[in-house]
Amino acid sequence: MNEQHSEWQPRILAFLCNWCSYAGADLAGVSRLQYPPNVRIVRVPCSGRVNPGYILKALQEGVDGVLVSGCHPGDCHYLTGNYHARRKFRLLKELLDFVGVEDGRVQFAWVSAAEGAKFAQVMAEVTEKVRALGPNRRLAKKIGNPKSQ
Amino acid sequence: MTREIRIIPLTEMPAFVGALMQGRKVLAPTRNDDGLCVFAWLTAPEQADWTCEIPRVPPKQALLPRTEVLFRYHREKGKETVSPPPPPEPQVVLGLHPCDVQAIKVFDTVFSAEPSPDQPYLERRAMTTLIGRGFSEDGPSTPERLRRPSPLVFCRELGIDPMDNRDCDAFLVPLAASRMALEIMTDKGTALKPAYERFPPAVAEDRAAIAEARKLSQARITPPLDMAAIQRNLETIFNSDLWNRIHEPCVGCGACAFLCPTCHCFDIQEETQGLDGARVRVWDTCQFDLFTRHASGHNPRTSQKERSRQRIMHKFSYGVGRFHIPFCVGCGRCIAACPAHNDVRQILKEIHDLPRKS
Amino acid sequence: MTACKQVDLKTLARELLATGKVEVFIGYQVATQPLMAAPLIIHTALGASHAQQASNPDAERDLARKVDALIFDDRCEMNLVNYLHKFKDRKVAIVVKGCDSRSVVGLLQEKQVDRKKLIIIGAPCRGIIDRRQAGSEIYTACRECPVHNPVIADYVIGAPVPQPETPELSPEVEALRKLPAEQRWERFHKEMSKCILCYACRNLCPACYCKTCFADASKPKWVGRTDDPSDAMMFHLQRLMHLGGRCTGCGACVRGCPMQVDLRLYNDHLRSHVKQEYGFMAGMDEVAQPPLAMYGTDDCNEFIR
Ligand code: SF4
Ligand code: SF4
Ligand code: SF4
Ligand code: SF4
Ligand code: SF4
Ligand code: FES
Repeated sequence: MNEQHSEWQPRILAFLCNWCSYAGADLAGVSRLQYPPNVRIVRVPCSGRVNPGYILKALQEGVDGVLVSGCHPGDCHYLTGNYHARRKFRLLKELLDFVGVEDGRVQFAWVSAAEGAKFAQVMAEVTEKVRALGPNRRLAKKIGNPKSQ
Repeated sequence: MTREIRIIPLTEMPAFVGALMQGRKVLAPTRNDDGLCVFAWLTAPEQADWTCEIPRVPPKQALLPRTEVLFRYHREKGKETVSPPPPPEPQVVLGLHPCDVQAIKVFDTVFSAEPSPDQPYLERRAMTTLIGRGFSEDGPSTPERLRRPSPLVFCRELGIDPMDNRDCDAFLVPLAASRMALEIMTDKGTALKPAYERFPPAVAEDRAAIAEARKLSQARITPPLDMAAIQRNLETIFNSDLWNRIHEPCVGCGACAFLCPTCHCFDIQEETQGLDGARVRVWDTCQFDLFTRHASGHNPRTSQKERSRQRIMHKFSYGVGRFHIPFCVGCGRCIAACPAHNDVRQILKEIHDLPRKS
Repeated sequence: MTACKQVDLKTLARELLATGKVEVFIGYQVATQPLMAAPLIIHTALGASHAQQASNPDAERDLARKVDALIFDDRCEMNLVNYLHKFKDRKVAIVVKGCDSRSVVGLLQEKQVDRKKLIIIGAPCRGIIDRRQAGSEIYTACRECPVHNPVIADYVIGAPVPQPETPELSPEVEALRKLPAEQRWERFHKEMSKCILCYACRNLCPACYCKTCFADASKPKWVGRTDDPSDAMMFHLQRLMHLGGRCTGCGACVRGCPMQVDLRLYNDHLRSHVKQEYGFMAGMDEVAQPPLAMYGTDDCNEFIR
């Protein structure tokens, strides 16, 4: 971890599918599994509901990392939502990589309702990766609050 | 009236510009990395480029920035604090074409109009010194690149003289042997003395050359467009089929208005982040559907036809009717920038030539 | 190319308009500035039926004058297909270059135009002169264009032109891909800082036809309008996403940008990604499914935890 960031805590936004990852988070909680408190959760009906615009907007508003997590391929409550999402996210990742947004600002996972332990582990990994990157300066908008950067 | 004239060799211009930059922001024609001429804030004196034709981006950003923070606010535990933006700094707009100066007159007229003069504008305006720059095709030894602004310019048809130094604080006239004459006209101009005093005053010969260039330039102002006829015609064709033709090629972008030195419409928006925020003023244009969309969702200008009409009407009828000054100075920027190659000169001609209603 | 009847542009336009086969003819005319062509939209006499038009010598003269003004040559840079959205319910004839014809295919695929009401006039094209360069260089998009001859047409003006070899990926994009992320970011930041959010790129793009674009949404507002480059980034990144698998690379957005923002780099990158990953080229086949509207159960999963 970078010295200058030692005081700094990353803020991470997680879009979690209601039918799996959100329940996974619940299970992690009920099982009293520890995971970093840096993550704020937005519950969505399906990973396919996550418009790439939401991810970009979150980064513009100043979060340091975004995670989208849904049901494993084949397990989507709406059958194909996560398959469609996968193509979209792949495109988004290609685009963000190419324009030079750091690898790891936006991450994806499949976590089922039964995978409480995986949920906690994913949260820890995502947080560490974002922490290593430091604050999101590239896409964050400065005009609303120039001090925030 | 011209108070004094100094002669600056082109090679010394960076020194002059550098001196202007002491304690002032300087906006001047520059070439960006793509070779495109734009008015931009200088960070080094050499950036000012005297070979620029009409710069694509007009100088209006000096007085109406693309984004202007009107005030900032902060909320905490039910308490709100509002802080004004820092006061405007002294600034120089350098290398203004006389048409751009006329455009600033349009701005001054609109933004000081009663009953609601625009305070942020007027404060910034008071801190601004205008250094114009003349163009003349005449005079055998005028350096080639300093002669004609661009084939798209039609300022003369609107009665604007590209050698006119009125309304400037100081004015540059290109002279033979790669020199510039700096004319000083106002107190704000005289205040630049530390920047220009080391340059020699003009001799009689130079004065004669300047006077000659002015005379020749004025002689070219014939025949101006009959603006009165255009305005008269516009008053009768609000519902004409002509607008169908005019709007059809237009794609409704903001290029023409954003890059027009006289277009001054803005929107006011909130930019917030967490508990902090800023109220900002940003450029807007009548070419956008959103410009007139009401909160209810109703939009009185339903199609590009109404929007294209508004642009022409505002420039050549409403502006003239209310302020007796057309909102177009013939700089040709909109013609160069329009991706659909709409040409305001052609539109004006069509309106001018409309058959008289009996 | 389908149904390639080689014809003369003006003769054809005259006939189509005179016989009422079309109500609107969309072509090119010489622009008022050198080296450029402007769109020319010709109507049969406005709102009038043919009978009325025939009896109106003024309208007839006007029509004849306009038809005579039609041109096609290496100045005709605009992609006119964008105008099809303006005349949705009319019978239209349109002049398309190779690249533009792909935009038509794209719109057919997305059911945005009625083929029965559309007459496509293909114009084989060797490339358009880049008016930003002095000289006779053609645009980069043209140099790298794989379809100099229209992929769809009812009539063709001029003989087919030879198709030069083109690179799989634009050398400039390839070079940019190899740079470290830091430098790619610098380039992106530089391009976005030039943008004044005039939306000419979007408004010129035939594939951008949404009734309310996200950029115009105001309840809530998605895209700010400030000069913080982040606003331009939000606009372009989202637009690029919407164009993924749909952008044909016609270059209309790049040529129309008054600030010379090089959007081509980013469009090209995604286009090549889509081609490599899904073997898809937008605007080549009107019955193909666009890849971003489909999925594969065996799609790449490596980037997901
Ligand atoms: S309308 Fe066009 S020519 Fe007239 S001032 Fe504006 S940009 Fe210049
Ligand atoms: S720049 Fe041209 S296309 Fe864009 S709004 Fe103006 S006239 Fe229309
Ligand atoms: S994004 Fe640009 S290159 Fe792609 S289809 Fe639209 S206008 Fe053409
Ligand atoms: S950018 Fe997206 S929302 Fe806007 S017009 Fe294009 S496709 Fe539609
Ligand atoms: S046309 Fe150019 S300046 Fe206008 S919004 Fe598009 S990229 Fe920005
Ligand atoms: S329901 Fe969970 S990803 Fe679709």
